[in-house]
Amino acid sequence: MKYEVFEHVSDIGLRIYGSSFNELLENAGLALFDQMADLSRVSSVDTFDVSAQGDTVEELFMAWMRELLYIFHGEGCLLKEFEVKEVSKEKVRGIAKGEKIDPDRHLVHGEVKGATYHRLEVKEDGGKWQAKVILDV
Amino acid sequence: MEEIKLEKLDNYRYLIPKEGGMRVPGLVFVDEKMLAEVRRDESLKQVRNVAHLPGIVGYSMAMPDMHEGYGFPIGGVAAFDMKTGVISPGGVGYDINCGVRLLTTNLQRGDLNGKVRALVDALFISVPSGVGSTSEMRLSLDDERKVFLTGARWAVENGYGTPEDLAHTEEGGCLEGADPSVVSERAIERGRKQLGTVGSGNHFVEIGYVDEVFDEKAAAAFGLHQGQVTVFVHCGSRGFGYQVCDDFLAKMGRTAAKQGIELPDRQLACAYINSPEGQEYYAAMACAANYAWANRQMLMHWVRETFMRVLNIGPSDLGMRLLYDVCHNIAKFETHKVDGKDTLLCVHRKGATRAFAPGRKEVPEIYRKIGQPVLIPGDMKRASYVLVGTEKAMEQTWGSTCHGAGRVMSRTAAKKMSKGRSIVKEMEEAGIIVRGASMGTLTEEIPESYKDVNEVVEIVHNAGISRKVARLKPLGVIKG
Repeated sequence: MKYEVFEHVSDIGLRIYGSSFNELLENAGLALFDQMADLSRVSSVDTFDVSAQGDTVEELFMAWMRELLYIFHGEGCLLKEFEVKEVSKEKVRGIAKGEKIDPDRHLVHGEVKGATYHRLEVKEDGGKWQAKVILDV
Repeated sequence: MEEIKLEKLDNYRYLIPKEGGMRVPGLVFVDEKMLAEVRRDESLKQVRNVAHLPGIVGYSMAMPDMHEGYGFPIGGVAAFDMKTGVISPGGVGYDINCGVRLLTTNLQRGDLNGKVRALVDALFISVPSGVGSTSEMRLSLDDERKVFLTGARWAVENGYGTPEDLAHTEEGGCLEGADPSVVSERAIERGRKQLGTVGSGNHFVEIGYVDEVFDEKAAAAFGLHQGQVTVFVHCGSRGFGYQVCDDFLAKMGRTAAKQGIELPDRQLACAYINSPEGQEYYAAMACAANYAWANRQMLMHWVRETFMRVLNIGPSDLGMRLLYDVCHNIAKFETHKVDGKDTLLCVHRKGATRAFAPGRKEVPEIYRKIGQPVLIPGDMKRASYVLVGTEKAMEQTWGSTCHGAGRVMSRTAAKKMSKGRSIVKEMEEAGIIVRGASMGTLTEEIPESYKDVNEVVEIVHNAGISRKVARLKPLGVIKG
């Protein structure tokens, strides 16, 4: 399983899994955009470079989420493919693919306004990564 | 979940005693029934967490519409000493200066017979709403800067409304101290496309009428009477305010550590008010507050135009006037009595409304003898309220009260509950015409997902931190 959704009073909670930190971030991107639109109708025509910085795994995770969300809010694009190319202690670099929102083709269910630090957890246990994050919708 | 210890002070107030790292006690305005609802989430713990922040004065408070937020609870009120205290983006919220304005008209409910649908349909077109809604207007960078600096005044100077509207807006529609140079490029970019839009979520434009008047004198002072047609506009600073909050939350986690502030929750990131980082946040927040006031001013102007066009009447027959505009997500510098002395404080209201007593200079002159109008929107079916600020609010809550109904059900649960139901039809059967930009919003916003606003208002009224003036009922709603 890449991720699951849990309920939170005003918002959506996500529990995200990955066999590495890279995969955790990739799955987090997918989980995020799955909440907003039917990704089967989105094509990977545009590629975005994504780079995020933070001094803890939580901050790195959040910075990655913020960068992806800005591509939605600032560039008006839906993303469906995510690839983390490089992770160091304080930096993540990767790419995300998707396309500009076209209301005639895309079904946007709702907007995730942001990822919050509320009850945030990012942890590794025996090589398996897991994150819990609450999205503001 | 940890059970937070409470001491009952009276039927409407409970104290969270000071313990551990709390600098002040907590104080929540709930009755027994509301308390049972509140205990289902972590909002009481959040009231306790806020009490840990440096320089907090009096109590960490929450209003009866309280529920779990990020960092601070929604419904939270906290004031900080200007020298030793902090300012926190989490104490303001993502939607900076989310607020409501109430418009009154010369129309009676009967005047809209058979015309509500046409009005709702026309408003749906003239007022851009929905997910990522953008306006046709693209602000120039220069104009956007003016919006940040002058708020609703910019809108009025550009033909959206009248100077009288400004006099009936909290802070005159412009918070001092805004500085566009501290705002990120991302925020500026997002702001350019969204001025003049309602957005999504719980934001709306609602046509309603005065269903009952409780306080004739105050109602007369506010220009309200039985059966009168009213319009509520509820929205905020859109993606711009959101980006400002997000930028500063990211930054201030480090700032707090650097300034030696221990946080019980990362989302409570903050900085000392008098530090460069604290000042920067305030200056950026003020830009967003001003953006929100310009936004509501523009939406109101389109509502006025739409009413005149659809009803085919002129401005004097319509008589659409701004009763008042309040913000319910903000931090402000205000003077309050602390140990009998006038003291400047930084008051955070997150999902709480200012409710100033008669005589305060901040209350518009025409209402000053009676007190500040307080606007409380409910869910899309039950009711909304107009209250008035009281002296007791000045003494107990830094002149604050509740802001709305407050959610009790997750959006996911609300969607599940409304599966197979036609919300539009149900509402129509209740005599309310609803249009939502998406089906999703309507199902998430079903009345059952909120506390009963009548019960919330009863608590603040009985606790004396504001007084009921009139109850309004909806006729037609557009939801973002």
